Amino acid sequence: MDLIKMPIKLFVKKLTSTADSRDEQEFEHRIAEDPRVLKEYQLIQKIWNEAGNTGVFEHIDTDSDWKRVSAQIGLTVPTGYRRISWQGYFLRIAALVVLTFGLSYSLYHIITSQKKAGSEFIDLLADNTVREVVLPDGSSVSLNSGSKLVYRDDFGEVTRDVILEGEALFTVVPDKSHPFRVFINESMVEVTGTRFSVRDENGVIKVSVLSGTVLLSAKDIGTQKVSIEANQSGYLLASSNEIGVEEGIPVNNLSWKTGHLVFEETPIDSALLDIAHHFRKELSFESSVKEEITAEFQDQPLHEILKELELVAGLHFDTTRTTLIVRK
Amino acid sequence: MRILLFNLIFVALLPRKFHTELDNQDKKIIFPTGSASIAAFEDLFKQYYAQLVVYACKYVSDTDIAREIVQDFFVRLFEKRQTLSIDVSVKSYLYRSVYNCCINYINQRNIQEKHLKNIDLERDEEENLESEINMVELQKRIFDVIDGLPAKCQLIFKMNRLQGLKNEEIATQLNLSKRTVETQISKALKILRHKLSADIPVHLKT
Repeated sequence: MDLIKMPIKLFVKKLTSTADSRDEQEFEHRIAEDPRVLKEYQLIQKIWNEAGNTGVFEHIDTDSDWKRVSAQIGLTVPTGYRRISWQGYFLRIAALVVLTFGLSYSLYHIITSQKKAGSEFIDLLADNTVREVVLPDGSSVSLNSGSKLVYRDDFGEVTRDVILEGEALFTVVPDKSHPFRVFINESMVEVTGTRFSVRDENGVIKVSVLSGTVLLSAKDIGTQKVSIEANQSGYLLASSNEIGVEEGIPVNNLSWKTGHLVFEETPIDSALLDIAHHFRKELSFESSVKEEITAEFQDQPLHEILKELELVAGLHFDTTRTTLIVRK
Repeated sequence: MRILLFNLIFVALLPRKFHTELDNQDKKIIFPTGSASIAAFEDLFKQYYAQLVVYACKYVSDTDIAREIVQDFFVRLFEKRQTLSIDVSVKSYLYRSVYNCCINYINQRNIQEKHLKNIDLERDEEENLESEINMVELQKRIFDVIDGLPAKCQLIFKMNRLQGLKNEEIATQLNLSKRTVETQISKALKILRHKLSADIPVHLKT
């Protein structure tokens, strides 16, 4: 059948329900003129409909599942190796050597490490300041002070998995075939290439997306995933797995990185929450406060900010190493 | 004992592409005692894995369980490849085996579920197996072609077909004119139509 003569644009209009009455007329006319047009249309329609059912294939990663199967059947076949022709004799020796090394390597790790055998974990801890980290794939991470990032030494080979305790801002290098996943508390944040921050706020996981798209879900496989777009925030309650997306990013979300705190007619209790979070302190109210404040701080130490608030809102503060106490 | 595996032989004579005309020809898995071919097993896996998972999904309704079932099946297939004799085409054999694995899985689950599913399964077994196979294979072919489309064309086509967006919505999101969206979709369909010309007519019979 001659494809060129087919009114493919007209077909598309019909398939996408954008055909107007003139298009419909022309379509009828073309069918009447040449019955092959209808056959061709039905064919394209079949492709069109079936194409709508192919989404499921996007979620099947044949190459990574092949690795799982080949590991189970004892074929640890690195890529590029299988095309070479091997002699059975040489293979036996090679397999023996690999087995011996493999076994002693695992044994060594079982004995020397409390962690999983056969894989090295790399721990990065930001002690008192924000720590900037570049991962093996080139993605960068700003790790808030007191936070910890862990990844395995095979990072990037199949997946790009990191474990986060605390809070961090990620700028992920796009790589569709190696999903970047952040495990935090009981949840999982999955991206391909974006800029986003993640924090664990006493069991509430909060994700703010600056660019790209991020998938947030509980860690258990098969649970509901929500997609968070740029300029949206998502949250997940670790206790109940409640999950949701909100428009906008809290204005002081990245204050720990930018040093910038801004309040515009903000109820003072939520402003204090931001301040306490910024200085990584617990907040304790000894009396209730209702005022609103408008203020802006850049890289100011806590005592200066508190002094200003004492003047503006008539509040009194006490600070301990871990807690900020508020009273009238 | 693992070492012996490397000496054992696995050769699958496989067609690289599906043309239904070829389906009735001989495509048996043969196990000669010649040079080892683990690569053939890998090819077999990579050629059929995704479709078999999708197919298994129809019965177990969960991608992860389906993946596990199909992976287990391939592991067992590899282990018993010496004693195996297959008289039908590779494709039929794989689908039928995975189908049986799914039934076994479901039977091991609670009785209520078994009851419900069996009704469907029996009917599928007799009437629909062939058309189910063709459907899944066709979807895989379509997916592969879509995956190979030029980036922009692919994005637009997927937004329409997989995310269910209207042309107008796509145009707004990508900051394009509606006409451009239509042109890209036409382009995608032309390529699909062209590349699938060998597969489609037969499947269209249904």
